Amino acid sequence: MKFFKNIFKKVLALTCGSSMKPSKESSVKLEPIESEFSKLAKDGNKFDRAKLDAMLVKLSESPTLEVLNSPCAMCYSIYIPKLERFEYVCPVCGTHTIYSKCWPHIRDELVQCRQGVEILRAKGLDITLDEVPLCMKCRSAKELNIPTRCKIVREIEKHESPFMSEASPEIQLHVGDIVEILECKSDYCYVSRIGQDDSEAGLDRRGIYVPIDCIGDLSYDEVKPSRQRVHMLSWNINGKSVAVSLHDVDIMMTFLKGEEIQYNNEKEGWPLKCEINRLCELFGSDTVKSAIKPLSVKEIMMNGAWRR
Amino acid sequence: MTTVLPSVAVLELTYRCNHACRFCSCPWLSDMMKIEPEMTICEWMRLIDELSSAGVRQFSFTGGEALLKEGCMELLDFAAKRALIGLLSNGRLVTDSVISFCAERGIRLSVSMPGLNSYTTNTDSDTPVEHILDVFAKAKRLGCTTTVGITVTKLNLAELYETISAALIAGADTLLLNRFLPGGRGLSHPELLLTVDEVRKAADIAEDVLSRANRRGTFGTEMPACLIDRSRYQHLNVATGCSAATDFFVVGANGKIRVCNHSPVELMYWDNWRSLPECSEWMHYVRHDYLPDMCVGCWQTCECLGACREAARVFSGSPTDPDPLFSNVRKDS
Repeated sequence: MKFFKNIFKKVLALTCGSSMKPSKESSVKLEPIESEFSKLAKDGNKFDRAKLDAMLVKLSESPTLEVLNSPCAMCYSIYIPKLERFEYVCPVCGTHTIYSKCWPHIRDELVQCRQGVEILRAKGLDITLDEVPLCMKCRSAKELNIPTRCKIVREIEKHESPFMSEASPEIQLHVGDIVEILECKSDYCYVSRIGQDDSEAGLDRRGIYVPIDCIGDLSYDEVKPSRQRVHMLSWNINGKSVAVSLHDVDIMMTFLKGEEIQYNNEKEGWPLKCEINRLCELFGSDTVKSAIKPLSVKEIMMNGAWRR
Repeated sequence: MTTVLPSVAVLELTYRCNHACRFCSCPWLSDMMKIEPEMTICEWMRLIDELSSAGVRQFSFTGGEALLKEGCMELLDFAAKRALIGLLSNGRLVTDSVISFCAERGIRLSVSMPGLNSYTTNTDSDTPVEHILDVFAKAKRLGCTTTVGITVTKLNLAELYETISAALIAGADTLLLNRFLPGGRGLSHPELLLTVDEVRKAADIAEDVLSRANRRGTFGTEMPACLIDRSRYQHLNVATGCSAATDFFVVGANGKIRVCNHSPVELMYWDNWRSLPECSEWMHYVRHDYLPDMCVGCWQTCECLGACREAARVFSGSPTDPDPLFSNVRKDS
């Protein structure tokens, strides 16, 4: 206890500017420090958890540094500011492809897509995740410059800057749109929701089929067919390549957990009925029907969430 | 942009240290790794120049005790002009001038403080823990960002709340919490190993203090996803994945690359870094091939490797063995 008293005195001295001197062994010569803890110092000459807690609360009022939340640990981690950057490390060739923006969307979606694949494999589904488009080296080696699959461009508002830079042709998978891709028999690309329309109108209603790489504030007729690339995560299910998104994974995981899925039964809004149709394709409609609950958009909005 | 290098390089400038921490996992402190001639400061400069051009954007200086390396400050100055720099130290040689130096160059200072009452025993040194608190306070005043590094052992768990609190109140900006992993000198101290419940308790304590202080911290040692509920922690980032060879790598004092600081396996001299993708050991980590048998089939394996693979190698002999933490599972209720 005596030791704690001394430490507590020390902490108070450091933060309150008391007359305590640094220990003789210390090589640091401290000057008095004026701080907000000075009031606490008056009677803070003994260790007391309550006083310590009060000091922590006081401390909480001062600015804090955000640390980078990472799913991977590093014993020698130091504080670094958050960076809009994502490094994709290719599990095949070891190449780091550096995406300068969209952090942490890609990483998070990639992790969840991988998890989704593991879950589905555990369920007996023949499914793999094709990450080749994320690796610049493998992508080049396979000459993936023809859109054999599709690309979903993230929601872009009219007045936003272009989302993707020249050096970072990263994917942006838009939630909810995936099902329309899944139902498409041929290869195509499209721009999702340029403009003010916040609905999830189907591709057929939008009537938009444009080449890939229509990134940024381009209107539909500004897209240049010559600028075609493919950057897309996809699942290979039973020999068929299927584009996926976080939303798709989310619904499947909810289903596999045995939880009820509330979906939008109207023509617009998300989650879409066609996502449920896709689920039925995978697991059989009888099985899926018992787990779903069709709602109107209004009901979904009132619930505050589309699933529980 | 593409590269084969992770963005963080941990540089072990020297084998030497002026503390003798019981929990120290430096692999050259066991018979698993030999001590060889250290690189000179000029060689380190060449390394930093080349690797920073090749995509490394952060260098973390450590050792041993990095400040014991002759020319360390000169090297820090050189590196700070090329990348983000972290200096990991036991704090003994950190003086006013070192703090000012770091503050002026934006160098992040991480200082180990493994306990209060137990500090001297844990570090086997005569450095007073008050000195470490002085460092945090002084750094705060001078605008130098600091992290308090705490390796949790059986010895200091009981006072973890007070230890973290003292460091934060003194001025530490963030917390880096590590659980004791046997390795190096630590192999001689298996009594320090925590049980699963104790590791959870350590994380809970850290979260408690951090939330009260509105501060942030990271658990630097990965946890098995099946043993900890990450959603409980909002202020403490608890990771389940391993970032060795993907997010960071280590260059030892002799200039040889290792996948992480726990690893005794030396892959190649640093200037052969372009051939890393041809190195099977390296690619095992990139591909996350090392998975304990007990984890095969687990759906969480895309984000979890059953905890630290190198600690498993050092403790049990193979990187596919269970993490040392599992050796204490049976001791929990």
